[in-house]
Amino acid sequence: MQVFRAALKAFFRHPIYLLIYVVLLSCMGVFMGMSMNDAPSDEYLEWPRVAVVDRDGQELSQGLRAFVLDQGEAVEVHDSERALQDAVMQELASYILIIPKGFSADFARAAATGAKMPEVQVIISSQSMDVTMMDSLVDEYLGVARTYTVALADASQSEVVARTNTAMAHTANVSVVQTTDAPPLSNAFLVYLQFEGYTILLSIAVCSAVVISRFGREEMHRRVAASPVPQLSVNLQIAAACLVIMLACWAFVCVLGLVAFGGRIAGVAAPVVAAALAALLCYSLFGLAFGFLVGQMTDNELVMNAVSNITGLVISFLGGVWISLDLVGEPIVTIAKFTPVYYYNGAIKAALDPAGGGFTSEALANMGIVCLFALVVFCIGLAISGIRAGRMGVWNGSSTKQLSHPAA
Amino acid sequence: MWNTFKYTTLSIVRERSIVVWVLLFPLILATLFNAMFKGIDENAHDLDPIPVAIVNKSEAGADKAFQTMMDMLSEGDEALLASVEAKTSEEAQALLRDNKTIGTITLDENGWPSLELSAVSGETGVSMEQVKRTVLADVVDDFCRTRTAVEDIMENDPQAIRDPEIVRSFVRLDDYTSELRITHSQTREYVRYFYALLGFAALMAANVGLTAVGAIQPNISPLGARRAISGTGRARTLAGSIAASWLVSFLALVVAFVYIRFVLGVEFGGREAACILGIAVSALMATAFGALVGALPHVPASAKGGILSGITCLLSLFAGLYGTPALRLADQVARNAPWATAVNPVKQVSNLFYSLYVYTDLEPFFQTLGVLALTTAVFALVAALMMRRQSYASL
Amino acid sequence: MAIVEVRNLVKRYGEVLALDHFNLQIEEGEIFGLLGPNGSGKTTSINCLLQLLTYDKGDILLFGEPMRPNSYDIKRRIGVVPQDVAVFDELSVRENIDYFCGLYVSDGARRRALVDEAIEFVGLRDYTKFRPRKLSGGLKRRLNIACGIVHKPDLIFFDEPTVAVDPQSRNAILGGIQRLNAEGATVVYTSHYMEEVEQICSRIMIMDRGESLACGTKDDLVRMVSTGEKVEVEAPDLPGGTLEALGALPFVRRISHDGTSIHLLCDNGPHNLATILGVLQERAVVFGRVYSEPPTLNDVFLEITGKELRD
Repeated sequence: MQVFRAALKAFFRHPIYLLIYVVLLSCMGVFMGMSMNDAPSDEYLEWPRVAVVDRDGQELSQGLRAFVLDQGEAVEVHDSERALQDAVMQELASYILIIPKGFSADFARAAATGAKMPEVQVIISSQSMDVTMMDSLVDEYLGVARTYTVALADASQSEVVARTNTAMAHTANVSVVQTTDAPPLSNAFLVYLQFEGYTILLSIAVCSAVVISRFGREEMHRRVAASPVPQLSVNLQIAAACLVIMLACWAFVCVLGLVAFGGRIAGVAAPVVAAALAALLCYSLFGLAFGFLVGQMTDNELVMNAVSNITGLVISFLGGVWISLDLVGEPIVTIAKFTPVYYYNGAIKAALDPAGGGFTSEALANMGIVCLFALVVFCIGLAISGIRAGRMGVWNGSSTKQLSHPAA
Repeated sequence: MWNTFKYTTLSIVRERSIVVWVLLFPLILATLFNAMFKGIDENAHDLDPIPVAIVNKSEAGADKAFQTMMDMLSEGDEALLASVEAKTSEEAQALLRDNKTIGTITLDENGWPSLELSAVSGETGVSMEQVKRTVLADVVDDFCRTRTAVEDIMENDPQAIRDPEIVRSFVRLDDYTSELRITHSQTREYVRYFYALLGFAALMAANVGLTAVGAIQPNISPLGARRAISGTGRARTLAGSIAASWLVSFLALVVAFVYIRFVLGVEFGGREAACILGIAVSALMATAFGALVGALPHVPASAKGGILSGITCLLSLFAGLYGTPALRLADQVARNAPWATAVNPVKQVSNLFYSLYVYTDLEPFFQTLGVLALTTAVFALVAALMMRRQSYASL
Repeated sequence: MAIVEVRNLVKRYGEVLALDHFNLQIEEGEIFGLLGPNGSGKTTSINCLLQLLTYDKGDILLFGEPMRPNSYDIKRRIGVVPQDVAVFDELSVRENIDYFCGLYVSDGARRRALVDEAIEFVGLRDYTKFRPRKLSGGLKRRLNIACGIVHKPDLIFFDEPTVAVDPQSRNAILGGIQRLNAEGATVVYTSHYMEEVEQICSRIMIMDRGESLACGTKDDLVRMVSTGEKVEVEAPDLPGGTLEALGALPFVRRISHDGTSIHLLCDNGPHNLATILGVLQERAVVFGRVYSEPPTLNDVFLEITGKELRD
């Protein structure tokens, strides 16, 4: 057990890695999760923060203003170019409606004569769903108002506005149904787990690469190889040390998640949560295998860091942690299917499925695929280590079967 | 100083890991972003038909208006809806549970629809599912409003309904809004990811300063000790190293910028010259930050790169690098705790570019530049305090 | 004039007293050897001299002037070859030497000549384009030396420059140091290799636990100690009482017989060997060859510190 102990000691002498990668980065997931509002069950989309700049001030524009402000979270914005730019810059309002001077009069005239209808202007900072939604609501409001203007040729604009408002207030009854009896699952917890996929890959890969490379350095390798401890035993001990570190990282992420989001998943059945955490464990195994691979490729800690970071970012990007995969198109999704994070996401979603989660066959299948990825990457690492050992000229009695020689 | 500058530059650009961090990383990430957002742009307009179940409980004829609308929306290649009839609510529920549909429209006896949507399953950002839910709700709402208006007019002003123009008006879809561009170019959210990426790249460039400072600190490396006892003053060695680090960081960021701007075609508000100025200041900030981390005592030199990248990742989260949810989080933080934005150099660098993009005048840009300069000064001061010693109690 | 003068230097690392009222005086043109086991304070004293380390007490004068961290005019006249190889891994041999030269000499043409000379001096001409990690241990040491001496300093510190170096390189290094000295440089040489110091140094200081135990030329040191020569006499058969008779001689400190030879350790004295042979003849002992060895630095060290130098 000498090697095992030495490996762990060498690693824990530098708690900086644990601190930065495990603790600090895990907290990123907590931040991400905390920022998710667990949507109340009767809301199906988030409403935008809206602002209206009414340069017209007539009845129709006032009606439109009241309607729009009623649809979202109303924000006050001053009518100056700088203020409007500030609003965009600081994301104060995601939808700013500007009603130009004379709009109501132009509108009535155009409706009566059948001319081209005047337009209102909007300022948006991003082309998001809630913005599109607001846009079509404005179109609907003005469409109905136009119909009334044409129909009630003799009526005052205030009557048109009043009746438009009545019609616009008549919306369908939209409700969100819970398709199962299970208590609603916390979105925040899911997001946390998804994001932790990134951080755990990074932290485990970096930590285990550090340990493995300590023993992989040429002189160290020779010295250990020259000792009476069999190579296989040495390698197994190093692997065991990395496994302990991996389990520690995983346990930390689990405990952190349960502490941070325990309240939100209080009613969820234990097997459901357990299945999700098991998926994380499988993904941790992949992180370990990846760290092993990186540890074989280089013993420069800066390079290790860089390779792990880049791969971690790319993989988590492909995993849809950042941007929902169904938005980005088929080619990216196809590429994503060649990465384990796709199946990790599949596993936690299946595990946390509101319609009966837990250790379902779908969840287990996904976890299995993640483990297979881990195995494949591990084997590549073994192959590289065999080649390296061969190049160093270390005689290990199995040079003809390098795959069976897991030199560290 | 020229001598130090020349050889520090040489030694930095020959260090493989630095090139990876500072040059390759931003390029890879930018390429990835580009692939993602291209996909979004291309996919934005083709929405698959939305699967929805209809439970019709209306009396004979009361559903005519609704059916007309459904027919219109379900026809053709660009059909918005793909509806299925469900005999009972239970059947519709089953379809919903099996994810065959995302909603159920139930018509009451008078033909008024109500909508039931499945609960949003875990998504980190806006997903296609949510888009479909929203569209569906909008369709149903729109129907109700129009029908209310029609019935209102038929009841109260029956003579008007004889005007064919009125009838046309009900189905006429006008676009009443136009996007006002108060910025230089069309506002697209995704430019912000590239700006955040540049912020991230700037901080990653701090690795350069970190390495350079490590090589002149007597208490960090034997090389540093050897240089400290030479005939060249410490200030000059430091100045040469800092200048070299700055130059390398600056050039690396310029490469990233040129790639993002001209290869990927991301807009910077048409103010490339100002961007270069911004990059110059950002590179200075990065060098100062690298010097600060590099001068930290009692931390093994090899772990400093880890510290730097860990801090960079964390700060990048609050600059919105990690996708939609992170961007939203960053905006929340910026609104509720502006000081947290001011002390986050990644966010400041990304704001630098965003303010060029958003504002017509350059004042906000120079303000942000000022904040960055101040940050640089603070980093440099703390670093200088740590490096001020020329003699050490122990090495 | 004393080029190096250190008075009552005290340096503590926390509780540990690294230099204890250390005094040192080195004259121009010397090769001065600082000899002591690992951890005896050799490197610490040099780092204090160079103002790399702070110290608790004492005065340091170099070239007759007090040394300060920013005494760059003094530093320009000093060359240092540190114990650890301190070069840029990313720069080639030539670039490294040029860089370090540039810290002292700004004139480009002069620098080129100096760099060429230094490369020639350490015999690295075939390796100028190599990066340090491609060099063997001995070549790396030579590069380290070239970086320290390239600017032709008046005073050069060599801090254990031959650690982990093969015999050929070591001889080349020692020869080089003597040449530098012949060209006018004063050299301070630290080592824990006795024979190197004996070979090249004009004066030697023996250090242990931060103290100067003895200082002088080799002969001075040998004279200082009471241990005299070692005498060995081949004499397989000894008549009874011979050893006792020899042991009773006043200058004999220790005596033993291993079956073939008698070993005697003697105090300093003018006629030791003659007296011993007299006793043997008196007792009609048949003896073969006789060896007499004068005391070595190792004996000196052993006597002063009570322990072997090599650890």
